[in-house]
Amino acid sequence: MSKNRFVLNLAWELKNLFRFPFPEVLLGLFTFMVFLPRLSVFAGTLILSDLSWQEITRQAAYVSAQRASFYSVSAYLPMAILGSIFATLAFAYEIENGLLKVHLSHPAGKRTIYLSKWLSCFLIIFTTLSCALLFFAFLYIPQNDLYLIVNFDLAPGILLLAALEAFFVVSVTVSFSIFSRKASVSLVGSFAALYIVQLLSGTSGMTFLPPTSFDLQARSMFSPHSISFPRFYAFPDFLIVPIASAVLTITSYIYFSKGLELA
Amino acid sequence: MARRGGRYLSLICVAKLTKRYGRIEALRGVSLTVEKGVTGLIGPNGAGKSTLIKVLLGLIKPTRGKTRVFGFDSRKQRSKIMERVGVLHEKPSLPSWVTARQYLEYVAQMKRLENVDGEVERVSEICGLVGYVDRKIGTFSAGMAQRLGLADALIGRPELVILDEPTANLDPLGRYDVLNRIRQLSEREGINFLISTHILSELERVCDNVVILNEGSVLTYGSFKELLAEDSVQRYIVKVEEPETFIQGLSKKTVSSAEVKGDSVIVGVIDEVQFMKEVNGMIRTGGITLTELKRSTVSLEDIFIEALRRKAA
Repeated sequence: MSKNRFVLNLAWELKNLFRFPFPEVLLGLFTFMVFLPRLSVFAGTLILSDLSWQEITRQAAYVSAQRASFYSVSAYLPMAILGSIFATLAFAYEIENGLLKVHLSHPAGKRTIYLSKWLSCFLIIFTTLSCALLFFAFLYIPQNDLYLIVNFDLAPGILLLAALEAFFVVSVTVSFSIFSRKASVSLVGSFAALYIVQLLSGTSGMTFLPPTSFDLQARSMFSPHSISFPRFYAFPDFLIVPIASAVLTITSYIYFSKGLELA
Repeated sequence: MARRGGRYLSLICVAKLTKRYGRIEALRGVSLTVEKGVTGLIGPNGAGKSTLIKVLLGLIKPTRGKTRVFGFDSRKQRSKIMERVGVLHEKPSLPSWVTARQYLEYVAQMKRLENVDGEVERVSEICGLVGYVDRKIGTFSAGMAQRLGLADALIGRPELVILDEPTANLDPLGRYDVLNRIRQLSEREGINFLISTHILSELERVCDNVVILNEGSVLTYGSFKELLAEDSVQRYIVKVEEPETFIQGLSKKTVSSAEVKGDSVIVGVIDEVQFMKEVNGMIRTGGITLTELKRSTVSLEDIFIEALRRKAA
């Protein structure tokens, strides 16, 4: 029985992107984040014997949420590097050396090809980021007794945070890659764009930009008084990044399917 | 476009096609139809052959005009066209990190073929890839990569195979082999081919129809036999000891062209009777010493040069 072309293309794209030593890249990223400073900020001050089990769980959730929030900011630049590499490999490199022309000469629509490429980049970034955030939120707390106390109610919120960050990184890098059409420009340019956004987000009045916005979103989502599924207190600010990401994705898709010429 | 019994008679129909790259006009109001069989798309480098192919495949947007393949619009119904067309691009770029088998299997699955393994074996055999299919594409020579590109184009027995410079990178034996395969596939399996090349002598062996492009315009197109019949100029190969004196002795009304090639003079003759009289006259007066005079068969190159000459006139 013949497979769906989109699934076939997605598998092909993932295989193409994994031609590089991806486990080593992941190991490097984890090492980078493990040795980040401020690890003990959110832990180590609790005296468990004074607390009820309910309170311990609440405190554990609070620590986990704080750590997820902290690492969503710390992971931004490593994700930007990964995003730039994968978007460049999936789009600009293939446009530049003629692989995309050969790819489009098979019976698959431009939409199928764009979506499979985009989704393969997204899946890699999202999987990496969500694994890292879940790991640091729940498992890597070696300084105190809260180690391995997992509050699963936080997991959907953390996955949503990872999805939003991956969506932003992929939409910027893919757009840059398609519009630049050159691998070298795409690689340097898309990372530079994300880096500039990070610098701007550190300035006052621009906190709606990533990665500061992810930190704020995480803090509002994981309110210490509620460990249930995210509560969007800062709703208008919360929408800015996803809307910007969606606009970039739609624009790059329209250009890819209508305007891109493969000489 | 002509239809009979629900089937399109013309494979490709191009109407007033213009393509500009900035100030450069790569195609200038090209109109043509491509019928079934093997069609040669010929012209010098920069004539617009590859641009025409890319427009047909919907890879680039025409500035003006329309193109249809199997009756489908190249821009709007690209996927439907690609279901029925196989393509070999000029200097094809292939994923170097997979084996030839993995790549061909992917293409076969994209074309939704039932017997993927069987089809990979079939095209590998046709293109002389047996024994190489399990090697990484990155280790292939340029010639082997070209053969793999051809195998890619032939997978799934497409109704039309578009080949852009199919014999580039191949050695003489490889060129001969590939052209023979094309002829066989056309005759035995009814596959139609559109072959773009600037090496005219190659196409003579395989083509039924010819489209001649130059500087973005169609100089002429039609069946090869018709074009041969249309060619009013006869070619003669003349070997004389005094080629310059011989050429000077010919009148412009009698010959259209005369050029020295090696130890011979190739003469395009308009009026054969008058030409013979002039040659006889030069021999009698002792102006030339003739060692050989024979009629040459008209080649595709002759048709091409004649088409260029007519356009210039």
